[in-house]
Amino acid sequence: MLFNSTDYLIFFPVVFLVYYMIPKKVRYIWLLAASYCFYMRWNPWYILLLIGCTMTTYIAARLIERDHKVQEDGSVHCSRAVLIVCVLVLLSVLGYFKYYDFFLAYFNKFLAVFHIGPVNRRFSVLLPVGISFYILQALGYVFDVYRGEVYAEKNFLKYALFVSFFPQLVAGPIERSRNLLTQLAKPAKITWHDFGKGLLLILYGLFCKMVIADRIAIIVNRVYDDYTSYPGLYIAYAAVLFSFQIYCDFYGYSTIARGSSLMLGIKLTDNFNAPYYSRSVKEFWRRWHISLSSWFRDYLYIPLGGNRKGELRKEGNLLFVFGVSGLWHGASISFVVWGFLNGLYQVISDVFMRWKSRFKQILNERCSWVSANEPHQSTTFSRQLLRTIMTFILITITWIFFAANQMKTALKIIKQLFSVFNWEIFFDGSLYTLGVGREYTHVLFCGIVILMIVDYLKYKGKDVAELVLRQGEWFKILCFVTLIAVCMLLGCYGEIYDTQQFIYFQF
Amino acid sequence: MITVGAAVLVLFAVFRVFDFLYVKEDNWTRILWHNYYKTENIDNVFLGSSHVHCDIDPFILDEMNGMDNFNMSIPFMRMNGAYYVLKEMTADHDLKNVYLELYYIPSTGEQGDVMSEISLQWNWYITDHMRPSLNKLQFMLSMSRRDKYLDTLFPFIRYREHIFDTPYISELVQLKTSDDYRNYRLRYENGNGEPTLWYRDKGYHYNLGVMPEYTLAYLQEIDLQTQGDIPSNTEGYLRKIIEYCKEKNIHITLFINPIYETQILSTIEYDAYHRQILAIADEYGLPFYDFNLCKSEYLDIMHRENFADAGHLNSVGAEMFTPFLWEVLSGDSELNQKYFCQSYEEKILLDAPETYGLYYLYNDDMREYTIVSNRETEIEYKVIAVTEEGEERMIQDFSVNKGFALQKDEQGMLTIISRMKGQTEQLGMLEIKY
Repeated sequence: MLFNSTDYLIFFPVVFLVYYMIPKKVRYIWLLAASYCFYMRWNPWYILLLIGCTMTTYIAARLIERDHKVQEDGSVHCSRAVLIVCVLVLLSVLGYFKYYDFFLAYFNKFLAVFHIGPVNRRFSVLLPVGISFYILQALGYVFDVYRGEVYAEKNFLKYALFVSFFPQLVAGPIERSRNLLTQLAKPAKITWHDFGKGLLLILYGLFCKMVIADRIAIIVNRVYDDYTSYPGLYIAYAAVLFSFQIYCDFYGYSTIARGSSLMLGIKLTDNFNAPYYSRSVKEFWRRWHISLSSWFRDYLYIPLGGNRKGELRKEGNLLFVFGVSGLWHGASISFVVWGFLNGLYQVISDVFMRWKSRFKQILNERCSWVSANEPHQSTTFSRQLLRTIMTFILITITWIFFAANQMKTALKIIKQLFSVFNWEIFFDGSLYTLGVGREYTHVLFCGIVILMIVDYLKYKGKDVAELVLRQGEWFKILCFVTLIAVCMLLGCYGEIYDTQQFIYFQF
Repeated sequence: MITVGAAVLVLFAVFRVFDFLYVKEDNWTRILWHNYYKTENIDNVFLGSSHVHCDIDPFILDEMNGMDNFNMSIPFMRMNGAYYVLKEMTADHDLKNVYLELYYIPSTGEQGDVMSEISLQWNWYITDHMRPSLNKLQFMLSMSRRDKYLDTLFPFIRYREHIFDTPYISELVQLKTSDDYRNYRLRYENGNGEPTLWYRDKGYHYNLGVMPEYTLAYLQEIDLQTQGDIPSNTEGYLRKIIEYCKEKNIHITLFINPIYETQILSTIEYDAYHRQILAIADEYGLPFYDFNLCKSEYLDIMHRENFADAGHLNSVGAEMFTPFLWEVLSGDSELNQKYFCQSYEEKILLDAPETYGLYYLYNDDMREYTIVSNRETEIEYKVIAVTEEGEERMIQDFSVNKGFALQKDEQGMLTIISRMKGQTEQLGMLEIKY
């Protein structure tokens, strides 16, 4: 069930109304039932997988906690073994469904080196939606229990809801148990303010998805599907637009998830914080898909040693974590390269910054005429703008690997990018022939401008939804009505558009 | 709470503006609904497709039966549309009799599937003008798949492709601000300013037009799609209508209006459709009259002059048909059987040999014609084509062969001369544009 489908338009109000009509004590059971129904709309059988993962992590956490208590009495230490088994089981499930074909292909290539025939056991089952998300969330919970940061949840149904809570089930945000589980146990009382804010978030999310992302998808699909016919700056145009597409797609989803959840009295983590205003790739990753970045930081990067074991180890860890993050996104080398490239940018930046500071130090020591009080250039507007643009360009390049899905295709697209400098396409109307006409292209760019204004306010620490809700009644009405009307009139849905799935559903 | 209420009101006001700017309405349906809601009393309703509003004159009926008659007829009305329209009417009026017209195209094959895309388009014309009610909501939710709910609930969504189409918008605004539109007037005039077609209240479409001889070529495409079978969902709604009427103690009669022979003969097997309706009528013990099976000695209506086009009578035809219709409807169903043949096949054989026109289908670059007559092999036809450039050529000399093909892009006039096989005397001559 997509958030931008009629099904959800019916499903959510029903869930919402029943939720507030039934006694508080049983609301979590209703939400669990709704979440399972939501998930089963894709493939009813995959609910077994979700229940299996839930049971595995539930039992593992309970065993670990019991072991912790026993240890206090000085008994046998087995929680590590339970943790390892649990991690292996969950990663095996993920590996089986997501990476089997990928690794088999490389294994066959390896066999071919020794002139051994390929293993022909291809696994052509549809990837269960959201598997990468709920497995990470469940694993995070087990790690937290192992570290003694949270208690294991005793109520299985509440825990099952934590793993399957429908707004964030299929594409995150990957919630921590200390945030979500505690809220699910005692959801906050809904207020008109939360209701309004939730609705506003849903509408803004739909705007990002339907008005911007899905319209960009028409152009990007046209260019990338037939990249040989669209060389040079067509590729650049599509690449830049893809940066906004993936952002609006994923951010739109997360915002709808947050809004839906807020209307049920549960606050989800904000997964994005104006990422395209970042001045470095490192900052970008603190602002993009925050729940995933922090998951990898807390459960992979830090356990690997983080930055505590020397510069070389730190850079190695960084590259490894980003490589894994790429693989998590998709079973393809292009995703690994995408992740690796993001890590590499940061390694280069770190090395450069170290050299720069060493150079400055030397300069200060040896050249007395260099004033220590000289104004710092990095705070000037032009320099900040330049860094923001540079970061955007670097990130946009990595998205080419992401969008292409195949390494060979990505390289060919990049080659096409530099094949010709056809600057005239920006002036002769050629850009309006890519599936989106003149008027709709203008709509698209207006949408992007609105997005960037909202993001700028967010970047400056302002909560735009709160800002709107603090205004007079007529202004609020205007905002709601405009958003609804714009989505209904200008959104890409219905039979005249090929409605796009959320990109992150495939991960 | 007040803010939410105000927001909803403003939102609906905005939607009304969008509807005004973008929604292209079916003018007939709009006027009909407007007139219906203004009508104080209705005793008898003639429910069905456009054939009802063209063929039946309710003013004649009022005089004949002393009751209030109304044609609730909407072009290509599907059976689910008829069911919900009937429910709407029973909520407003104390109906005595329902006469359900069952034109075969909206009741059979792909066209007759009430859940098909084409049915949805026609049903939208109904819901766009119905007043808000629970019945309307039920109709809206039942007539489309979930992914079409938004298009059904908010008409402007269907016209989103025209958002920036300023000529479209200005044309529509011009139309919707015109006097005729605002005053619910439907009126067409000929070159001399004389009215040829107008809305005459009670759901009657007064039409003085006559089907010209040169238009006797009938495109067969839709008739082939219908293939005679009534889809199960259409049959389901037909049964619902019958059962609903029984439940409400309303007398219901099924009937089919006369359509011109070129159309009926172009169907694969019209009798199969007739038999299916008859079986349902018999099952419920209802009278069913198919006026296409009516013997010419009682209703001699199958002449071009009585028709506005191949499907609809003109007002001359309606004035001839309506009194007979009432005579039958108000008569004893057993005794009425004398007026009708058992099948269409039997009926055309009873009539004197006649050639009615042509029907055709497109096949690649060709137009494949079939001569329409009421005899299989007893009539011979000579076909001559004169192109627009004046070039004359004989397509076939007298022969019983009914089929011939012409280039799709070729235009001109066809002359079909017919005679009885083995005789020299001419039976008739038709000149038809191609």
